[in-house]
Order: sequence, then structure tokens, then C-alpha cells
Amino acid sequence: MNGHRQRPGPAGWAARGALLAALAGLVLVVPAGRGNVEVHVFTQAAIYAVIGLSLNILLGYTGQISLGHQAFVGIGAFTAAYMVSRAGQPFLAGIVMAMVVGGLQALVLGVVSLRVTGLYFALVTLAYGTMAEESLFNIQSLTGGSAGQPAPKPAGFSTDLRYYYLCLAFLAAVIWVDWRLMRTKGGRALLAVRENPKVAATNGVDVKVYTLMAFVVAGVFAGLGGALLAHNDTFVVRDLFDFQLALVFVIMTVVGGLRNRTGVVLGSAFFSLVGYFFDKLFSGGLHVPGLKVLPKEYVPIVIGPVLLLYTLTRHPGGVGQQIRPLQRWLRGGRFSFKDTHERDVRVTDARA
Amino acid sequence: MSAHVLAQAVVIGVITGAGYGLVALGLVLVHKSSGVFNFAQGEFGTVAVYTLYRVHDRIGVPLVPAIAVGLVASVAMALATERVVVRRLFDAPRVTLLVATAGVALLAISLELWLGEARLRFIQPALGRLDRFSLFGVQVSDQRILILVALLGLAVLLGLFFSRTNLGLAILAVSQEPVATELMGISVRRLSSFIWGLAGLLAGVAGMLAAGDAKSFGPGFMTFGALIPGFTAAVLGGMNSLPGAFVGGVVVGVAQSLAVSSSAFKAIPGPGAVMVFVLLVVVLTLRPQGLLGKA
Amino acid sequence: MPVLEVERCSIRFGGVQAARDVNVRAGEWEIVGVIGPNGAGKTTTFNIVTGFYRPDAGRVRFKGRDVTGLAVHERTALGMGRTFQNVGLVKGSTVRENLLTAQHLEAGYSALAGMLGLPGTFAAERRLAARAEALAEILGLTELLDTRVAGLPYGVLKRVELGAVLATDPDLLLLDEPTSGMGPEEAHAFGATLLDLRREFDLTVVMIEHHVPLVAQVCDYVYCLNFGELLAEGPPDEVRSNPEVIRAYLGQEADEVLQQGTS
Repeated sequence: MNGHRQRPGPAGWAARGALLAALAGLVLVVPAGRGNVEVHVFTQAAIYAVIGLSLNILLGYTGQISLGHQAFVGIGAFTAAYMVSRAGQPFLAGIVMAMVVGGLQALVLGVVSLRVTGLYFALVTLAYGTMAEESLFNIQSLTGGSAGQPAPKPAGFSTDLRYYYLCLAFLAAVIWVDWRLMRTKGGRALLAVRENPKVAATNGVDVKVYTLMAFVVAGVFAGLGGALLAHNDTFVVRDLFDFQLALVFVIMTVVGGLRNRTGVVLGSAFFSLVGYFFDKLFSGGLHVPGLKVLPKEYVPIVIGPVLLLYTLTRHPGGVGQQIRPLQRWLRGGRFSFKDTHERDVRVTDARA
Repeated sequence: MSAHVLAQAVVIGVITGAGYGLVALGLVLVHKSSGVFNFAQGEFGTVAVYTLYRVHDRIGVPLVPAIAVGLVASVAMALATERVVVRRLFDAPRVTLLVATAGVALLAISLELWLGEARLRFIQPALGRLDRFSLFGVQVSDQRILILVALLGLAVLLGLFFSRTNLGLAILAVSQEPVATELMGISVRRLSSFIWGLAGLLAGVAGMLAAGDAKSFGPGFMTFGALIPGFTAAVLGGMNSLPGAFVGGVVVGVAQSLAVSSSAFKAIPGPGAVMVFVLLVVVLTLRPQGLLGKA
Repeated sequence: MPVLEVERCSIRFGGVQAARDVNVRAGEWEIVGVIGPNGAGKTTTFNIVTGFYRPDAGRVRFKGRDVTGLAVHERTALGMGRTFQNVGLVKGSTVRENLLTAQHLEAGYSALAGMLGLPGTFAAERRLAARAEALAEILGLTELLDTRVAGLPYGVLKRVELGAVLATDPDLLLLDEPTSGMGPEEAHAFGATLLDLRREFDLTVVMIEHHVPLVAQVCDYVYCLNFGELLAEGPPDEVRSNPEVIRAYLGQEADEVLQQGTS
């Protein structure tokens, strides 16, 4: 290793501070000057970040594949909508209930995961997502059937901009919990369980309990994301939560970078915003000569798989890995491109 | 449920189950030889159907050559998937491959949505008479007989292929000992391409038969309608058992059909999907190796 | 009261009787050696003791308490620590993180409190970090604390694993071939380290070993297994000169040589 690290001087810190301020400005100030439609899109990006972080807990930290995550989110969305419009409860009650229901339903899947491992469990989550789509989300009273369920914004945050800041606050809270999780025994236990359950057990970790805990936390955050989504759109329709969405969630988390909080947030925001930016660039849709116009709704699912395959084959660490040099610099280190090609360690149930 | 309704449900179940069995055959084939869960299997079929439609209904090519073109399309897609995705991730955990093939499926669906419009298309079944005979009031068309025959025939052929032919045995050898097999002069790469091409062919057949029976198709219809039942059928039969795919397919089809027509399930929306999910979980917890698989 | 009692444990896998009526005992602060040719059932016995396998017959008693039905992590909580033949560590994490993970049961706060970031957890984490650094110091790993385990050389991995198992605050240390890959000098140095650690941490040690001089150097008592059964037991010198034991290691040829020698 190199000798004594050089600490950056005042100019160095000023530069870092300026970058952070610019980022903060981008996130906090820029949306204030935009129209409602745009703010609505930015809000969705923040909510997608919450969902990405929830999926990262399962997929990244615990090594459990979830191809039915859209069901967790959808159930959260419908629960919140139901609480607010059918049961006449306040916004916060809807949020809490969505988190509880999200956690409970994830717990059920978690129990199944204890008996069914690896690839077969992935199948189960996929089947679960499909079942939710065709069955749960068609329960008239809960979801309003094909007509959907209204979910008005809460009092005090009824403008798009205010709601945006509210969602940012929720995102910050989720990031806090994720940060603390990984800095304490819970997160360390999950990483051990993911890589080598025998070693985890020998270290005193109850593998079953911690696996279930991961599911519950992921489910709680997914439920929260769903609830926030519902109020953002002020209406929830079951068609939103389909197989494509499940894959978009997985793709945004993997491309963002598994086990990398910043990467996941960036990746999720990207996939949420890409349609919007695409629309600005090619207003109305991309005109490829000879082919039909590509509408902005399909952009994530067209480029998603391509980015996914590129990430899986070339840069498994995703976006998060690529921005490591920048992160290191921000923390006061030197800016170097070392470590951008770290290979992941073989995980024990590889051939599961 | 009256006996008549029950019988009808069973007949319909056997027919749809045969379709699932065809999908399951392709899934088992790929898994048996490489341990991969191919989530793109459904889309190989959808692509075949879209191609067939384009070529036959839009361009006007006669049916038989058009079918051939459609099958070429699904085989080509399968080969491309093997080349671009599977080979690159040869050493990766099987879960990564699963996600990658799911990505391929999503790409196909997105292209279908983009280029093919997000709606159902209706087609006329090409094959003969719609009511060749009637079983318990269920019309058994030529199309449906063909599905059953195709499934049985293919299952038997594949079974023989794996147990009797040199190529088939080589494929099994590769799945267990790739290095040793390579040393014996067998090209692992060529075999891998062959298997995936074959899976593409099976998917194309399954897709065309399914579309013909339903008289309609839309973007991703095989993935949305047949992939999960197909996987459930494969798991039920035993993920490494080819005859199991056939048995599993019929069981899943019948169970789903009974759930849909049973009055006990009237209160639950989407009973078919629920039944398939329950079946999958039950099999995986009680008998993970499937009915015909080895423990 | 002996710290560990393995009472007539047997286990069968398919057609193979991996262990039959194995009896092992370790008294307080003893260092007990378990030797035998490959496949003799030594690691199987360890797996039974630590809870990875449930024996078909027999009991395991730890500090007088019957633990045969307990899960692995429960036995760790009671004070059993164990290393693995092919090094049991979280390779994707750093040395520091491994030493912290191993202190899972010493954390003093619940996982929920940890993830919410409740006030006490920060101080607790500082305490765990300090302990990790102390352990690293003892094992000469301070320079490597923030290095990812995956790239480290085998010998270093063994030391990290030792650090991790000590971090679980064990009373009984089960070491599975701790000196594999080491030459005679290294093994001897390890023996001295082991004696120091025993004194410093009040440990009882059961050790699967192949290095005969090391066994003679540190072990108070030795068990020799072969084909899943106890072949011989006793002080190291007795066991190593036991003809049965020699024959087990060398196979039939030794028998023939001995016969030829005496005829």
C-alpha cells in the first residue's frame, strides 16, 4: 500500500464542497423552478430509488432473487389507496399500513425461501408476481378492479413540489436506515449469510432469522415505495404492476450496482427518468427510419435489457463501481481509477 | 361441480397442459444440459409466431414455408441468446444467467410492443376442421389433436435421443463433466449451440400451436400465458426428466382448468394463476425433485 | 467436568458409516489432538460437535450440557468456536469487517436498534471496532485490516480466521487442520502461538492435525480415528508408536514390512 495518505488542502476541500453543493442544488433547488409535470417525474425518480434500495437489500445484501418485487410495491400502493379513499384514514396511516402489509407479505415469501433455494425460489417469486397481477390485484373491493383506486395527495403536501420534498425526506430516511443497517451487526450478518451461510452460523448468526429479517425490511420499504407511488399518481391501476415492471426493478438495481447504495439510487433514478429525458430529446418519440416511432413508455424496457446484459457481462459492479473513484475523492482521498474492475467473490450456492 | 363440467374441465386441461408440456420440454432440455433456467423460452415462441404472421398474413407467403421461416426465427433467436448471453456468462452463478435470460425476454417483449403494437391479433387456424370430434361437449379440433400428438411425439423422440444416440449422450456428458468431454474431442460449444437451437425449435412449435388454438396472440403472450405454467410443469415432472415435462404439463393444465371451472374458487379472482402458484410451492416444498425426478 | 464430551456418536450417509461410536473428551484447558488418515471421519466429528450434522446416535455434551439438539449458532453462543479446513471467512469483505462480523453475539444491541441508528449503537460499534483492532494486533494483522480477504495469501487467511474465531469469545476452540500448507518451522511457531493463546484466552482446544511434531509439542491427549471409528487414544507418544496407528497411515505395506522384518 502507499505510504501516509496526503490529506487534501483547503482548495481540495473547497472543490469537494462545491461538487456536493452542486449536487444538492440539482436535487433540491432545480425542481422548484419546473412545472408540475416535470416535478411529478422527479418525484417518481425518488420513489424508484426507495424501491431500488429495497430490492438491493434482498438481491444485493442477502443474495435472494426477487422477480416478483412489483407485487410488493403494488400491494403497498393499493393498501395506501384503500386506507385513504375507502377507509377514510389519514395519509400517514395509509403509509404505515402499506409498510406493514408489505413487510408481512414479504415475510410469507421469506418463509418459503427457507425451504426452496436459489433458482427455484426465483421461479416462486416470479409465479407470485404473476399471481398477484392476476388474482390479488383483481379483488374488486381492495383494488377497484380495472377502474383502479384513487389516492389523493395528503393535506399540507398537496402540490407536486411539496410532495416531491416529502418523498425526498422519505428517501433520506430509507438511506439512513440502509446506511446504519450495513454499519451494524444486521447488515454484516446478511453479507455473511449471502456469501457463506456456514461461516455466518459459526459466527453466531441465526441464518433463518436474518434471512427473514431481510425479507421483512425489503418488504417494508417496497410497501412504502408503493404507497408513495400511489399518491404521486393520485390513482392506482393494477395494469401498472406487471412482469415488465418486475424486471425493470431488477435491472435498475443490478445496473445501478448491487450492494452499492449510491449506485442503486442513481440507477433507479435513471430508469425512472430515462423516458422523460428521451421525450425531451426526441419530442414525440424516436424516429428510426423504416421503423415505427418509439414511444417514451417503452424506452426503459428497450434499453433496460441491453444495459443489463452489458453490465452482467462487462461491468458486474454496475454504475456504483464506476463512480467509486469519485466517491473516494469526495471523502478526501486521491482520485484514481484503481479498483474499477473488482471481480465479485464466488458465492456458495452458485450452482443452486 | 357436475360430472359434465368436470369432464369438460379435464379435457380442456389436458389440451392446455399439452401446450405447457411443450414449453416444459424446452426448459428441461436446456436445464438438463447446462443447469440454466431459460426465462426466454416463452419469447422464442412468441417471436416465431410474430414472424409467421408477418410473413404469411402480411407478405403473403404460403403457409408451410411461412411456418418454416417462423421456426428459423425462433431458432435464430435462441442461437443468438446462447452466443451473446449464455456463453459470456458460462462461469457465472446460475442465478445471474436466469436474470440475463429474463432480460432477453424483456427485450423481445419490448420490441414486440414497439414494432408490433400492444394489441391482440386474431388469426384463422390453418388446420382443417374445428370440430373433428366432440368430447364431453368440448370441441376437439385438429389443432388440438396436433398439440397432443406433437407433445407426445417430441417427448418420446427427445427421450430416445438422450438415451440412444451418441449426440444425446454427449450432451448429458457435457452437463456433468464439461472438461472431460472436451478432452474427448467433443466441442462443448457446438453442443451448446445445438441444444439451444433445439430449444428454440421446440418453443417455436409450442408458440405456433398455442396461437393457433387460441386463435389470437399478442406481445409476450407465451411468456405471460405459458412460461410460468411451463416451469411449474417442468418442476413437477422433475427438472431433469423429459417424460416428466409431459406428465407435469398435463397435471398443471388439468389442475388449472379445474380451478377455473370449480365453483369453490368463484370468489377468488384469477384462480388459475393461484392454482399454478400453489402447485409450484407445494411441489418444491414436499417433493423438490418432482414426480419423475431422482432425489 | 470435561468441557467437551462426544459420547458414542455415529452417523451414516447413504451407504457410508462416516462415524461409529466415536468417543472424544476434552478437559478444561487441555489441548486435544484428533489424528487419522484422510476420510477417517475427523471433520465429520467436528461437524457433529458444532451442529452441522445431527448424529444418528450418541450425544454431545458441552460444559456438562447436552447440546446435541442445538443449532450451530446456538452452540457458538454457548462458547464453541470452530475453524474450517478451507478457511471459513466472508471473502468479499475486509479483514476488519470479518472481525466485526465474528463479534455478532458480542454486539450488545439488537439488529433492529442497529438499523434504526439508535444512540447506543454508535458507542457499541466503536467498542467492537476497538476489539477488532486489538485482535488484529495480537495476530499481526493490523496492516491488513482494510484489505479485502479475497486477495490474501493462504497463510494470512488462516490467521484472519483465527482472529475471527477468537472474536466470538469461545471457551472451546475446534481447529480443523490449522497448519495445513505450513512448513515445519511455521507449524512449530504456530504451536507456540497456540500455547500463548490458550493462556491468554482461557481456552480448551481440540485440533485436527497432520503435523506429527506439532501434535507431540502441544497436545495433552490424542485420539486417532480411522474409517469413522476410534482406533487409539492416549498421550501423544503412546499413540504415535501404536502399530495400529502406523498401519492406518501407511496402509498394508507397513504390515508386510513389519512381518518381513521379524521373519
